[in-house]
Amino acid sequence: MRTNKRTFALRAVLAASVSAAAMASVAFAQDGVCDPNVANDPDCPRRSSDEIIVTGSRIARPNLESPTPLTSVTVDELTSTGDLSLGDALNDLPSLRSTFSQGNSTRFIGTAGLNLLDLRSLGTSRTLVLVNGRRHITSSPGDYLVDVNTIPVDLLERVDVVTGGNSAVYGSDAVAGVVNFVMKDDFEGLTLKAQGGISSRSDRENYFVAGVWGSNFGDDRGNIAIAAEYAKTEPLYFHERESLTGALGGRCQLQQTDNPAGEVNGTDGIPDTTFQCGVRNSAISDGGTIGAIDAAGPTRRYLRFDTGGILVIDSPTLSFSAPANSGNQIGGMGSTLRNTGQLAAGVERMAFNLFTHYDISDAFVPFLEAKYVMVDAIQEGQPSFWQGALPNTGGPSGTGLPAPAALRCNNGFLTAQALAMLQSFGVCLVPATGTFSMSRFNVDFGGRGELHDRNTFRAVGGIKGSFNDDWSYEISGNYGRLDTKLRSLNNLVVRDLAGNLDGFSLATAAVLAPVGFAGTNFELNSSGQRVICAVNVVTNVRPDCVPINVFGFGSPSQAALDFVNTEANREEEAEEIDFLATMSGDLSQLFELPGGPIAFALGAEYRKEKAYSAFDPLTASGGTFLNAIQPFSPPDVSVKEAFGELLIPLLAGTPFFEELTFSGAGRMSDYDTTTGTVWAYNANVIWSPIKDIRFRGAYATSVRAPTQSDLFSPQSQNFAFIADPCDVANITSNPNRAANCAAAGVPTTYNAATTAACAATAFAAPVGSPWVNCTARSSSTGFVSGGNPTLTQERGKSLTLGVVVEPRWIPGLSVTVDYYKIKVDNLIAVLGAQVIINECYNSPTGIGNPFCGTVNRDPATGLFIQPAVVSGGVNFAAQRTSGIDIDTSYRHTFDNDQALTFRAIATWVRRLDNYVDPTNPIIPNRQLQELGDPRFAANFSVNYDFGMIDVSWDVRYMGKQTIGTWEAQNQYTGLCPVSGSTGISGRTCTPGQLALLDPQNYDLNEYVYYPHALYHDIRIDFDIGDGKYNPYFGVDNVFDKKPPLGLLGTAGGDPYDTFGMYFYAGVRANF
Amino acid sequence: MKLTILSAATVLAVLAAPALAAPAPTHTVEVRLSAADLSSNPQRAYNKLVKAARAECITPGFKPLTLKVSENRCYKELIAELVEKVGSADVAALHAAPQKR
Repeated sequence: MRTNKRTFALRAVLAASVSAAAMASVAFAQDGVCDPNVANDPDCPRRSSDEIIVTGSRIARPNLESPTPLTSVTVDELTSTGDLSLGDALNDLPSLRSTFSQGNSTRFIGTAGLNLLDLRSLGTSRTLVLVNGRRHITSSPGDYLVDVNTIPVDLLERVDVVTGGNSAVYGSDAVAGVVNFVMKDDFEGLTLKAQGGISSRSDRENYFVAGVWGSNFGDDRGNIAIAAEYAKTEPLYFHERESLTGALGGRCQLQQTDNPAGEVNGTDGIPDTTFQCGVRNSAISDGGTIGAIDAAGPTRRYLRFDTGGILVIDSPTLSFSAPANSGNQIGGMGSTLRNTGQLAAGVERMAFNLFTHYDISDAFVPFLEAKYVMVDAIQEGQPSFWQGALPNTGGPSGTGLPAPAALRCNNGFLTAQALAMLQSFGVCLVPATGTFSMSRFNVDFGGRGELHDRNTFRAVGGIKGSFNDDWSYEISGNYGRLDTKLRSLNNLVVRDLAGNLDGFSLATAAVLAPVGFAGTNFELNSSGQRVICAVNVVTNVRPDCVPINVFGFGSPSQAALDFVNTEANREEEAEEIDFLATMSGDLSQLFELPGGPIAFALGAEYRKEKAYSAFDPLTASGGTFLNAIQPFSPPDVSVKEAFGELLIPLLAGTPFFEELTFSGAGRMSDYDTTTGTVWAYNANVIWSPIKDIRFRGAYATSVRAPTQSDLFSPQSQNFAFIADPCDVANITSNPNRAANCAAAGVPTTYNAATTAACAATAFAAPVGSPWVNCTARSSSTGFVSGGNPTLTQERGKSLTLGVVVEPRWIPGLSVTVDYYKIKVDNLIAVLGAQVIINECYNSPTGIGNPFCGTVNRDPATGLFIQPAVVSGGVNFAAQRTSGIDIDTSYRHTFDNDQALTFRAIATWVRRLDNYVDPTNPIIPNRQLQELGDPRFAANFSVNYDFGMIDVSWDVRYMGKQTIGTWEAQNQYTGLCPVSGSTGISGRTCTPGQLALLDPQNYDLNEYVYYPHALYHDIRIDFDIGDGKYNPYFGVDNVFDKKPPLGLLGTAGGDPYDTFGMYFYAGVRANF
Repeated sequence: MKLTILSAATVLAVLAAPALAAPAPTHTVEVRLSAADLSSNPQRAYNKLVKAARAECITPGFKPLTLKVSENRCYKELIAELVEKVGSADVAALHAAPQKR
């Protein structure tokens, strides 16, 4: 790592030297005035017999002129790698976190292949993603999450990443910032592009072909552009990268090797975990594990089924069962858990786009944007499994469900050898009635996979125009629709729709067929005997039931697998309708300030969101390996908004005030949910004392209205014993409870209604007795988990201060440095039922808190009514972040028309804290420097254009990140405990006050941090035929840097490259 | 942190030194006009200049006012520059006239 650091430093110095040399050269003589006496003056038009070529200088620089920090990245910069995922390329920007990438999108049901953007690590739902400044249909019904895979690459002009709250301009969700995809407007000609790539290990192939055709029409008044593109990226399976994943030979990971139990602060100076390879799970195996046969210790052995149903004693090389108290081992037959699964999902994408407009007059320009995008994603995860009892066949005691089923000792597939060995260990001593437990990782059932088919349609149509000299307007309608189909493969059937055991539950109850069994639905065991489902012993009532042999890897027959496995199906829909009307102009016809005319913009917007999602009835009922997932059919949500902006150019062109401009914006939004009417505003200033320097500052408020998922996600019934804080037994546990319970109408003594309601319980008592929640004490209390319809909006505030430097004496150089500070309050976070109900009555500010809004009581008795609590999101958490962004670019064109370009984008994060403790909302939970959130990250690129050849070198750096939580092995800010000690160091602190506490477990991991990382990409572009053909090739991750310490890129936020060295080549042809 | 602030201040101080040379453009726009159009159909030639300037400066869709003003300024300056460089009185007259196409 030191070598890398030195290399980077050396290269940076070299690059700086080259840049300095370039700067020293004389700028070419373009001054805007044609001098016919100067040979080849670029200000003079070039003339031939039939053509005149004029050249102008472009000065549109959104990142430099914006009052808020804005990183503008061109499509060429984003597509200068072999990765076809625009989202992953964006995630490489220092300001974005890899919360949802191609590698880690498979963590949840139904999200494989999605690329969602997460600015500043404040959550994907707090980053507003727009296309041409307008909203885009979601990829996840019920939430506002745009899949970047639906953005057409070849029609993209650039991506603007705006930091800080922007709700006043764009509306809800622009809390951390905005990512705006700016598309090409007019396009003329035909462009064809093809690209292919493959890793140095001959996997993760990808292909891309695209064509864009555009033409003017109507005497150049109109333009139409049509684009089509196809991209395919092959999935990358764990087993294809054995050295990285240990899919077959065991994992490399930080393994528990020391038991911290009994150690003060878990610390004895010996790391609790050390980096080990070949690690397998002891308790489960691919062929079936009965259990350990030795006491815990390094040589602990296990009883497992080997191939062919032979029961064997597995002697691992090393068991971590003692002293480490871990369930892992090295060597042996335990499962790696990675035989199936992926490092990255496969994605196939087809996109069709149409852009057109026709200038009937300057004041009336109809336009249309339309696209249809099909994205298919292929995901494979872990197979079904069970540990001990068979899956979903029962429930814990006290739940009213039957006891979970176990395997029967008279199972027809159990060999005599296996039975004898079981009996030698005291199991199945009475085979006819006995049962035994087994744990099995069903790799031979097939990995549970997901096949996604996502279809996105979006059309924006409207009219725009200019009038009254500088005034303009736009009226548009924006319609988006998403239809998805998910097929969940190799999902076990365990019950039928009526709740009766079915599928796997029937097939595992396999017994020898009685004499005379006439059915054909039998299997032969290793002795050639016929085995049938027990349900068919008397009568063949289930002729479809094929018994399954689960003893040993590879034992199940295909017929049995066909019977036990099913394909779950889910269909989703989302629809968005957005009408937007804006008008803008300036007051130059009335008056002008010294800095220019006052400009204004006014607008109104109406938006409506629809969502629907439902699994097939069997899956929804919980009849499969998946948990029961209820249909999601929330009410439509709509919002009406009005907004305005004002720009006041106070001064310009005066000493110390080359520019002084104030601007501001405000937006009122009226939601038809509990959010109601909310406001957002911003105020900005730009001060440029001289032409070379612009200072900018912005303060903004922002909102995120709760989504349909936040509000209405299906509520599943749950039961738990809840201790009522208002009960006489609990009411004194907190000084605020008595007042709050009284305010909520809970009596302190039994009234007539309470006495009547409690008469049949063990807590029956006369009127006047101390109040007891008799029902909550007698039985479990029902509550629901899901959306919370009482949620209100999250509120954000952001402050940005920055400077833009464009020194005239270094033409082509620009440097921006921006400080940002963002805080989000009233944040929606999910809490458990007991926590919610406690927080309601513990509040020192009374019962007008969000927790009490979810508690339901009978006003007469004070007892809970169903549901007692809505356990879901609550507006109570907060986030804080601040840091500095730096964006530096330089371009210099030499006299020989060769050009040098470099750009550096960096982010240094000062703070990133979450406040998610409802009991102590002042306690920060530090996220900074945990995985995915390095303190410093930077991208650096250098390009030299020789004319015919264009060479690029890109470097991406990210700082170290902790392996565990920050608090585990670093000092952290927390609440001083009652002991008055900060921890292992023995420093003192004031109990109940915030203090710098000692690490929670100083020796948790052998290494505290994942190391910093540098990735190098190179690329060469050729220019053939005067720009007509541009073949190119490149290599990403040139030094084949691998993820550190067992990381796979599959964890949320994991930013390390998993694919290794990657080659690609392509060609672009322009006609 | 102190070091960072100091470094940033130093960089700014150096960069803010008095101008030594005139600014040079960092990006150029090239427009090809038909000589025939220029003489016989100046409106067509002017439309082409307008389209080129718009394509360079104006991005489609909704945007904040500050960006809109910035883009309009870019467009006005670029079209004026292009018209001047073409050196055609007819095109210049079209540009000076109220914009009705």
